[in-house]
Amino acid sequence: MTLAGHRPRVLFISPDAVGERMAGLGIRYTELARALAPSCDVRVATGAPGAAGGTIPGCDVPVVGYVPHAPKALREHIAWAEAVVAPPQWPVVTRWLRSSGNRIVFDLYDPETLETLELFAGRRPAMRRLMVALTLDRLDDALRTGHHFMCAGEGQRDLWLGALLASRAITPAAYDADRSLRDVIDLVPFGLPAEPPSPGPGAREAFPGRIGPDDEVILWNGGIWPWLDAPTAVRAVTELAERRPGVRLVFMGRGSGFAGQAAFEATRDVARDLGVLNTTVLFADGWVPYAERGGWLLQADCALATASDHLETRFAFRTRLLDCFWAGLPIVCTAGDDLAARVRSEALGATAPPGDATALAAALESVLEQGRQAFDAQLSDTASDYAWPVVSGALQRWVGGGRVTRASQSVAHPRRRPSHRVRVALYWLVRTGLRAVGKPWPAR
Amino acid sequence: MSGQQILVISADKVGRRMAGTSIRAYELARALGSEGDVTLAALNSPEADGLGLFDVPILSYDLRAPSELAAAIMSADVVICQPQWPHLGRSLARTRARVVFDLYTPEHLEVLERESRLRSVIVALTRDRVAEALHAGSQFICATERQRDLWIGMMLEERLLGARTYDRDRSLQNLIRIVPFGTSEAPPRADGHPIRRQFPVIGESDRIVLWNGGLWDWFDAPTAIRAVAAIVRDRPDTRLVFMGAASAGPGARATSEARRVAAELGLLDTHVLFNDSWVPYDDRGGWLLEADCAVSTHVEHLETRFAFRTRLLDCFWAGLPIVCTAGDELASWIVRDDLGAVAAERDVTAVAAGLAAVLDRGKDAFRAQLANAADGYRWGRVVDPLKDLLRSPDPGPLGTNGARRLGPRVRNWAFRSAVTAASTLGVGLPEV
Repeated sequence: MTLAGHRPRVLFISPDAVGERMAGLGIRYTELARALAPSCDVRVATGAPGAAGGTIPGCDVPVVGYVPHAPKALREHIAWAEAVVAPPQWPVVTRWLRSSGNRIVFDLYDPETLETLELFAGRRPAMRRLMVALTLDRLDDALRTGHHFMCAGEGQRDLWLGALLASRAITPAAYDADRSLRDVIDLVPFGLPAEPPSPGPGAREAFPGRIGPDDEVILWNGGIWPWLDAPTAVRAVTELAERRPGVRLVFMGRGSGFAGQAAFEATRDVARDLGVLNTTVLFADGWVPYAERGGWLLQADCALATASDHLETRFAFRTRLLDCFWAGLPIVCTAGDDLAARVRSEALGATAPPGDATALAAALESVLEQGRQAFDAQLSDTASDYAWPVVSGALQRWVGGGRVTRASQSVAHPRRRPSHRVRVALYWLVRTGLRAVGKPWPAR
Repeated sequence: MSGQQILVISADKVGRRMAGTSIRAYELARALGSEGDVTLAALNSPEADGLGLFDVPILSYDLRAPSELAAAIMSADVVICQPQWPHLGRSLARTRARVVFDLYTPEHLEVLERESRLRSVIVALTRDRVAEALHAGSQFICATERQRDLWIGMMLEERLLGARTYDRDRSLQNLIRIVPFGTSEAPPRADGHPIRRQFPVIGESDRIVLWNGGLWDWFDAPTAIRAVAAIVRDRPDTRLVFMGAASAGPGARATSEARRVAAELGLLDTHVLFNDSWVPYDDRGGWLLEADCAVSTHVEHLETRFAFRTRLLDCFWAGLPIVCTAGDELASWIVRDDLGAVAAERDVTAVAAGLAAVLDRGKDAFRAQLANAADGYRWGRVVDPLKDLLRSPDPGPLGTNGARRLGPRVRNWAFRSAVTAASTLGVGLPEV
């Protein structure tokens, strides 16, 4: 598809910071930009304040900035680009993208819609309804505007295929052109760093005197969130400790915000009630810096990740499990999502049904009994599937296709529903009003 | 719980010969006997009740003028059915009954395969029908995990998963559950040698590889044929039989393509055999018992991704090992439980190796595992999640506001008017 010698111009729009202190999407677009850089001219736009300027380390991809609800600076970059990769956008940017003639790839890797339901639980009902409606409006606009969609796993792909069909974006003609619809929606999961983790301090250094040299470290390698099920993890390890007194469960991070704090406290209370707090079950203070996680993963004997049966967990992509592939750490987790299915079918550890502490204890015991080495080969095989140049395959294919002509459009553009149109008009009104009085967009 | 009126609607005829839809509706009706008084409504089946075959009362209805069915829908406590055409959809939206939609066939995907001048109209009407069902239904069942994810995606985009639904049931296990297809309780009956009777060219000690179902565009018969061709070179006693290879109807294109490939390889009607006549559903057991291995290959395709492969269940039931394309839940069980072999899409060599291995080990080597798998799929067992749904409090219709898009409303109105006009004039509805 690519014309000989032509380098496609690709713009990534990241709401998160890129560069030094990166969050999820920032890391994702930095790595994807790096993977595309050898064959494309790439720019990354970031909506995080103060993050613009300079280039992405390791390649000469410029990082440019924009202000999320006053995104004028994006216009010139959209005009420059032939292909744009972005998560679902607010109405202003969507409108520019739609009229740009560029190939638009929407990133549906993060099931934001399901997260919104969870994150705004406990807020005022009217507020929550509005936030859910706005998130769905953005998804709707993305489905009606995008030419291609990337998602993290096959389960997510099924979810989004359902949404695409409901939005009536898939016409019979699109189906005839591509009966698997892999050209419309395909997987671009999260990837792994190219360099292996480096040894360094971990749980043993963080809890001097609490973990003996022969004790076994079970690592909860991430934060504690309401949709995860840390209490069951505590119960399982407590049960296991009766048979294997040397096991230690170490929580590497906490959740943040109101919901995260509540989940942490509930977990700590369970540990206290079972009399294992600060003996068998240990909580790290604050967050282990992202760059230091390698040391913790290399030191541990097994990772543990439990979730409840829950919409968010079914469709989320657990990057914490990827980290375990990277560090060769076997995993015990609850069944129910794509990566868990992989853990089970490729013997990367063991799985247990959600909420079943006894089954979880048995799974942990069998993995600890076999030892890390028993899982080494499978884990490193799996890790190689998640190298960024590999996971970005579909994206590379799409951006090589050049600008979109009408004939090559695979997705129809059905009209917005009336309530959606009303909310879009309100958005323009509020935005213009705020600009007129010189006020910034309110933070969430 | 007993005493509640349960109405199960079959979208097709019930009788001696039944299609998958009717079998499913009948088995659901039977299994729900423990939950209340069940009636099975069946399309154009006035004689069915008199056959003495069914242990539930049967209400026959006519799609053109379904007034009796509409009345039954209004008076029932529970209605279980597939998405309905607009004139019945209206009764379903208005009844006080708990309506459970059976979404085991993603019809809005199937219609994309239609070759018809009216395709775009049919596609739009089917999408309306499905969306209508998502709004009007209280609860839902479907056949696979994949389907469940697809339906949740549709509900999300239809704006049906708001805070109210979510807070009540964060896993949606009380909203949509999986009820796959089941296997008959009665074992398959051996009836002489129906395959050899049909194809005298097959010798007594020959090994039969059976394609046990129809041939459709989304299957990949050429790969199976080439794989058998590779085996025939060493073992000329291997025969591949297509059980439902109609030269007319929707499968005609795939059948003629398969015939062409077999002819090119010089195996047509000697080693690759096509059964042009339809094998009655009840007789399929004999065919399965006579074969040595089943084969089923397909390419990635929306239809294959979301369909439930009933033909593989039939193999479990008849103790027939399977060689099939990898990539779905059933295929992964075939590997895990040693029920046959799987191969990557279009991989002729791997299919041939799988077939050779299974044929060499012989059917008996797989018997115990297959019986185990079949037991897990007994109708009496697979219906349990539906019983759970009915025992939980009725959450009420999923769609709270009647605000529908203009397009579907106009099409609904046009459809209902057409049905009324047709039944007034006494003309039949065109087949769609």
